[in-house]
Amino acid sequence: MIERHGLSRRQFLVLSAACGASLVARSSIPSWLSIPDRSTPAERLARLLRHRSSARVIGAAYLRHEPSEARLTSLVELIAGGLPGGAGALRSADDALRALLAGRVQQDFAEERTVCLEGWIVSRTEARLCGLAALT
Amino acid sequence: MIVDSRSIPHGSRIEADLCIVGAGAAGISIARRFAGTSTRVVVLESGGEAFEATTQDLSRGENVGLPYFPLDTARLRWLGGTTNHWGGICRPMDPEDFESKAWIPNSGWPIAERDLESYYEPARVMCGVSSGDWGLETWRQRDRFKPLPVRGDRLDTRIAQIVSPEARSFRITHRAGIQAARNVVLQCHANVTEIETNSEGTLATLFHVATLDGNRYTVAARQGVLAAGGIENPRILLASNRQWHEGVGNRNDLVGRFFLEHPRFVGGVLVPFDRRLSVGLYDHHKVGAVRLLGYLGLKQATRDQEQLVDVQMSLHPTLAGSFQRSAESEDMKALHALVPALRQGHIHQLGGHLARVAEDLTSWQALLIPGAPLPAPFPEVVGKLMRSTPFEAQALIPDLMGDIAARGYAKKFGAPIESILLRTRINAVPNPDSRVTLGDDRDPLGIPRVRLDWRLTSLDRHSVRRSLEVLGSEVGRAGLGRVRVMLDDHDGPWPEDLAGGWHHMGTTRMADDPRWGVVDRNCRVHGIRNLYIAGSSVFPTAGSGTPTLTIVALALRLADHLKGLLA
Ligand SMILES: Cc1cc2nc3c(=O)[nH]c(=O)nc-3n(C[C@H](O)[C@H](O)[C@H](O)COP(=O)(O)OP(=O)(O)OC[C@H]3O[C@@H](n4cnc5c(N)ncnc54)[C@H](O)[C@@H]3O)c2cc1C
Repeated sequence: MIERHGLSRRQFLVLSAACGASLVARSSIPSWLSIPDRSTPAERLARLLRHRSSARVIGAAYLRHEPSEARLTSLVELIAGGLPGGAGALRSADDALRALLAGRVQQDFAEERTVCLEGWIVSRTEARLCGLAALT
Repeated sequence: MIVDSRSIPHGSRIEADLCIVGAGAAGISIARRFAGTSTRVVVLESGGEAFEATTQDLSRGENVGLPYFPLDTARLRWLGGTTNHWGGICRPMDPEDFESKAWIPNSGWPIAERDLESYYEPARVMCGVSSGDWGLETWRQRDRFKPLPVRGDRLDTRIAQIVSPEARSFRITHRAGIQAARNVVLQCHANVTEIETNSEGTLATLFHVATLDGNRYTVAARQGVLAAGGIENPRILLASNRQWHEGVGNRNDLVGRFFLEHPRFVGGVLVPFDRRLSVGLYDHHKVGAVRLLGYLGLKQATRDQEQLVDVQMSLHPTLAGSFQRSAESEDMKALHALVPALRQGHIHQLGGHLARVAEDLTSWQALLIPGAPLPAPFPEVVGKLMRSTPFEAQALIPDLMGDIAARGYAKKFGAPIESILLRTRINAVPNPDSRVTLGDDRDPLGIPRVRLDWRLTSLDRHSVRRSLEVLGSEVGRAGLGRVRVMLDDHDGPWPEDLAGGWHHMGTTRMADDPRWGVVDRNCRVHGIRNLYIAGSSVFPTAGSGTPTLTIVALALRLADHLKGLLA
């Protein structure tokens, strides 16, 4: 079920672009284009979002709502736990990971695993990704 | 025949078989059903054949509940009644609208949709509705706009039809039929001020009539029908309190209670990822000659599962604000270029031009906003288009013109959408505390003015909230965008833009048990053998359609019932 919170419209618009549209759109880029790196899973996940500063604002709102999740390890675990292959999925190339996350966001909506941030109905996974951005 | 009651001798007593109070949608429908029969019908209509401010003022009243329209603007008091300015949006009730739901207090009708089914077709014709097809599937084949591509099975798109403006007023469309009927006498300027009954209160014996210039007379009829609208019907019953202090038909203190509206407000906003998302189906548009309007709602199974009332969600795109550009814009130039292109028959090039022109549509939208500046070349260009087009291109012109006028062009070619306002309309919970009573002020005829105390319930609010949340999830799931819900679930104030739909229902509700309703399943006032009510005041629930088509269907059904009694 939905839980409720708060955000400005402008921040949300950027969030939508960052989390929803861009995850789906960019997942069509061939995966061989992604560059392997040695950053932590939290950094990797957070970096998938194009509009980091907006994501941070939204993430901060989410973490105020879910203070118990306000740790990088918890957020990474929760996000990975929802992906096929669990933590192993985090080793996928960037675009494959984007596609997995986009699928998970869709599934969140289908099953109403959503959170309400100042009225905006946001998927748990996208809110948690923003949470990571806020902490990194 | 139409006469002026000011010329009827003072103190007369007129005898008739059937007396109908009010010549709006309901009263006219019954009168027309009797036209050409041997039944002597008198119709008493408060107004004349044109709008008169002094008559309209009789509708003034007081709002003491939720903010509501001034009561003298929420209905009209002249021949044709409120159909003289209604919106013409029609959709019949769904079968489930008649059902009782355990979680909706006081829901359920004593009749089912099948009792009205055969009356919807003649009602459609009476109302001037073009097509008898209400299903999405039929229109999906023919409509160039498609329903929002949401997946899942929780949302429906429903289709309403809009009566063309010239066919809307019952005064215009049915005047000749009434005038020609020799057995029907429609008396204008005739205000019913009281219904008198026998000493037991079981028979309506006299309708007292007053004109604003002081004439007074009575009508005695074998059967009587109140068809004065959803606020005046209870007013007349309550004001008939000389013999019965509680008024006529009000032994169970139900007259005026359960006032229902279709509350409307912007409950949320949808921000689409694709700014050219096609939502034209949800705006007024035409398929052939039929005017359509779509809206969204939760499917019945979802509502039942979540124990909600029905909430209809209509979509209102706001277009990107960058189109306040001058006539010098590239897009306006493209519009100018259309003229020679059309003249030279370069039809194949038009696609590109049209697409570019579409970019300017927001500035054209400004044409439709009162007071907004007109882009100077626009009328001139359209004029030229009209005069100078080769044969092949002519087909494009009505499309172009019509769609501009209907704002559909913007969506057809995809003017960028900034956001889509989600206007919600509730099939509200019947609430006995939402009511019409008599106020302290009196009108010039000495009748107490009405006091309206409109109220809503927490289930109404929760249903809006949940419906938008489900829409938000389905829109997110389909990757169409994100939804913001602008109504909280606490019992705080309602949004400032809360308004009604100008639909006045429930105030003389229908129920088999007189403890729960003012009229029975045949619309007869409980306890009174010859008094009936027509109009949406008999609706026990507001329904997910719009009221007028059902008002007329019920009125025609009542007419047939009365024909049986008067034969
Ligand atoms: C702005 C507006 C838009 C609307 N849009 C729509 C829409 O899109 N779709 C829809 O379905 N409905 C719409 N409606 C509602 C629609 O107009 C009504 O449902 C319909 O007109 C009701 O018909 P009626 O005959 O019951 O009442 P009315 O049409 O109001 O007629 C009642 C008649 O009774 C007369 N009368 C009143 N008191 C007395 C009296 N004491 N003595 C004698 N005569 C009396 C009045 O003068 C009037 O002529 C709209 C209403 C408004 C105001």
